[in-house]
Amino acid sequence: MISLAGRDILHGWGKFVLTGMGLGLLIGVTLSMAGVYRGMVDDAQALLDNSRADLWVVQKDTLGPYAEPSSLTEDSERPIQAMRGVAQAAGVTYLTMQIAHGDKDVRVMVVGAEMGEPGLPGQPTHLISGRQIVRGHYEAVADVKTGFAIGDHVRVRRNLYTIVGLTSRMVSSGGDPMLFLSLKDAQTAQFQKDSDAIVRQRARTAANPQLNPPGNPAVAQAVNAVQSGNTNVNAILVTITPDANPDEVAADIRRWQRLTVYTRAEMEEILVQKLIANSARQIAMFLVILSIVSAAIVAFIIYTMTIGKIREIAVLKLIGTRNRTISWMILQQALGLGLIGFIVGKIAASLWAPFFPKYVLLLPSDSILGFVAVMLICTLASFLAIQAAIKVDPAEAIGG
Amino acid sequence: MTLPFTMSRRGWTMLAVLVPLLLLFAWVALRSGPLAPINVTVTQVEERNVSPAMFGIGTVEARYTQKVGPTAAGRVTMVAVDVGDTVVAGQLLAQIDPIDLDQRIDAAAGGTARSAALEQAAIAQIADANARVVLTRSVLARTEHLKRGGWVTDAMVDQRRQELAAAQAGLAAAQANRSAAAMDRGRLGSERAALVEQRANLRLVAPHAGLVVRRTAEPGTTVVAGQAVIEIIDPAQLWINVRFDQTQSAGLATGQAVRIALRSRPDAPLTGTIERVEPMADALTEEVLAKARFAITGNLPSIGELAEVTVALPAQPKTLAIPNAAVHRIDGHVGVWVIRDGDLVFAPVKLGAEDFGGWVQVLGGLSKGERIVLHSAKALSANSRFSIVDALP
Amino acid sequence: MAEGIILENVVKTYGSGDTAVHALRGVDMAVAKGEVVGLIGPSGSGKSTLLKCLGAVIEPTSGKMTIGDQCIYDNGWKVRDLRALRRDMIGFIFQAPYLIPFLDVTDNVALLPMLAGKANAEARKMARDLLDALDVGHRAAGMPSQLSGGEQQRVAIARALINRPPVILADEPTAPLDGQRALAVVGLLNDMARQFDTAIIIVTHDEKIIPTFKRLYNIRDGRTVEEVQGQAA
Repeated sequence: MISLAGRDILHGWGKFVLTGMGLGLLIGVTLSMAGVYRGMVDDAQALLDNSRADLWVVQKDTLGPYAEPSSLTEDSERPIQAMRGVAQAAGVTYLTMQIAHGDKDVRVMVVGAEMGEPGLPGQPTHLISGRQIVRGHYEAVADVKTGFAIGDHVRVRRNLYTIVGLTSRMVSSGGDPMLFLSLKDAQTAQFQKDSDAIVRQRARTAANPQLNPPGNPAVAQAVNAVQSGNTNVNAILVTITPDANPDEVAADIRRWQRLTVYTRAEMEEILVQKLIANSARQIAMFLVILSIVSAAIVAFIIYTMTIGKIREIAVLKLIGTRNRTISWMILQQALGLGLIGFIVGKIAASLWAPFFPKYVLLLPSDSILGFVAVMLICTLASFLAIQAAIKVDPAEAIGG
Repeated sequence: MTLPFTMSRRGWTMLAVLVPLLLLFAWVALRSGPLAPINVTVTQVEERNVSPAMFGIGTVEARYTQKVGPTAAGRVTMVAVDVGDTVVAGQLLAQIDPIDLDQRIDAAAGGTARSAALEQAAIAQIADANARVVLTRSVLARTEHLKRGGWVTDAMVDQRRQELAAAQAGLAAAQANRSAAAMDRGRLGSERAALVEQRANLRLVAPHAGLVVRRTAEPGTTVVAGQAVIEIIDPAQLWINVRFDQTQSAGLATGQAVRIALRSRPDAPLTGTIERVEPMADALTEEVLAKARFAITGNLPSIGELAEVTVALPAQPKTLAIPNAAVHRIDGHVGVWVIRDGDLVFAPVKLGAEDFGGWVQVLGGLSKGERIVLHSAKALSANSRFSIVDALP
Repeated sequence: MAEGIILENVVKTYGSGDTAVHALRGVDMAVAKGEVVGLIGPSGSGKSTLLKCLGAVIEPTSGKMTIGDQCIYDNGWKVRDLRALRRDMIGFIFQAPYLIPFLDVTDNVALLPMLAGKANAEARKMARDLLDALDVGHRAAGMPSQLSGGEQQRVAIARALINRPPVILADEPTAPLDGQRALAVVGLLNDMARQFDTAIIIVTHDEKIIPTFKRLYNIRDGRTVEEVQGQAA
């Protein structure tokens, strides 16, 4: 027996492949949508991976540093460093801000990390060009998505920073590329007010008799000094020794330092469940609708294809072709269409994924799931067409 | 070639479309996304000179700042200099209102004169008492002579003796009066001298030649004791109070040459030397403080201006060195990814000094010529698939 | 001469009661193998219904039908698999060739033996032989759309013949053709009927070819009237 489906496809293969490609683009959009969702989750994960921390120590009773503001003094890290099970502890600051680059603004997350020794938590995990920060000040490592190049000078608040290295996939949970500065520079950037604000603040201090008592000008000076200096950090990133249990170390820090501590699992929960939950659900909803639309379109295409062959089907039935043979032919065609569609969709999604402004992650497992779904949808869609084919009366082939 | 079915030209065309599509699909599936190998660039461990350096920031400060102010509370009556003026030692800067000080000096002067007059009176009394003693002594001698001849009674002799004792007592009293008057005069003189001295303190004069940098009170202002009215610095003695990160400060020493870039003129660096490394570090900011002297050329930099200070440390002998971008920390070990037999191996290394070009000395763990991963498109792990490219991205 | 198809008192009524339509009121027909008969009648005479009954695509209400030596209907179907019946016992030729456009000429013809379970190679060999016999062997590898109308008609005839059915039903096979070619087709069908020993029933209202039949069945009001024409070709 010959393959009727194969022959039919071969006969009208141009149309078939074009239809499959059209369908493929739709599937590509669906896959991309799944990729956008995965990308969002991965952005959150990347943020955690890139910080290289096992524990996040933050201001007491906050969800910081990513989901809520958190501030604690930089020297809180010292007692933590001395605790059992702690390998490294380093302060880190995060500040999302707009940076002018050329004639456009780039939204970045300025990360202040301790740069004194290699591999401290908070530092960029890898570079794609250039070098790590060496000078204690005025050097920066940028994520390649900022568009900065090595040697560029970028202004963060008052100071100019030279880009010395580029990294990749270092993004905030919102997908903003990171700009790494040394911790002190970042503290300055985060807490230093602009000159006008400082001048006004001084004037306010001078006008306040409690802060500037007559006959004791030293008080106002002291108040100004207190107001302009800041050695706070947003979180302390802690790595633990290989033999330590993160939950136990976290419990110790909570108990003895009276700070809030999150483990990796808890942080993931905060980021994925709380921070991006709504956007993720939004995308998931869109994904569902897109899948339904795709399914409807596949069903429609296959139905139309079948209806276009109704006379041939009638003739086939009249000359004694079994329903099973005809159904199998339609099913094969639907699956073939799905296969081409999936292949084209996967290619399309992979090719256009890098051009999305935010990260699009196409997981192989998603692709496999997508493939199964496409095949299932095609099978379901072909039922409708098969139903129509089975209803065809062989008598229609005869003139009457 | 025999095929299970006959291939029409149509079939071949279809294959010509589908086969590239399938190849593209396979390429896409394996070369993008999480299954794709990680692109890396490699470099070789090489020998080179690493010239470590230190980088700190600081502010321009005057080495000597004189804050001139009164020692007692008072009202400023006059300020003689303004910010920017150059002053010499002893020059009047400002004057504090003396209030009744002059009158008190006058009173003290009057008291002294009176004490002198009293002293003169006492001297006259001494002369008078002396004369009386001489007279009574000769009268007594004569009376005693007459007594031996029996011409007078004993009672007469006793009376003359008593007269002599009285005259001697009168002399002693006059002498005591004179010394009291002299001491009184000295006391009043000192009192006046003190008031004059105090009055000199209300004249604020420059203790040292220099430049007026601050004028904090205007005539009419009441100032407390110790409050500065005028600040003077020595413009020839400027230095930079510079802060170095503690982790980078090894090797910092007095006398090292530094390059200084002032914020106002970053392209015209100055040279200087480390004058002093402060024994006290800043514990809160984890910085080491030092003072860097520099020679001033041209205009005076503003006091408080930000400056970047670079200290070139002595060049190290040629050693193995790698770029710091290659250095990672995995499971608590600092090391690099080495390509050995086509596999990624994480080799812990011992690192030495680092220079501003990002080169870091390798003290152990690597040998010359080994190929190490320099840059990578993602963080690597021991079982990462990788492919070597010339440049990223 | 062996009978190709015999119909005895075949009745077909659509619906029931007052609205019943009596399409066939008792048709008797007998066509021998090797014989070609015409089936004529005006529109609404029951011609189509009869054809469908003959083709085993609709079930008669009563009567008896025998194809070859097999009784297929006797007040009820006597065979279970009507598809196989149509495939193996009845050949169909339509008004237009109705070839399967996505199969080449050989496979269009070979499809039936393939459906019947013959091996592809064997079926194709049979098809090519038959196409040779019908003078279209040179187009065996072509697609139907590349053939002329006459060639397509020959392929369609080959398809009807391939399983050597006892009877072939031809539904207006000459309708789109001009006189010359219509006569040629009828001549061909006559040749084939003799050559392959099959009964051929040609349903037609084509005046040009009616005179060529030795025997005709004329349907009027659901009954057949047999007419014998002496001057048959």
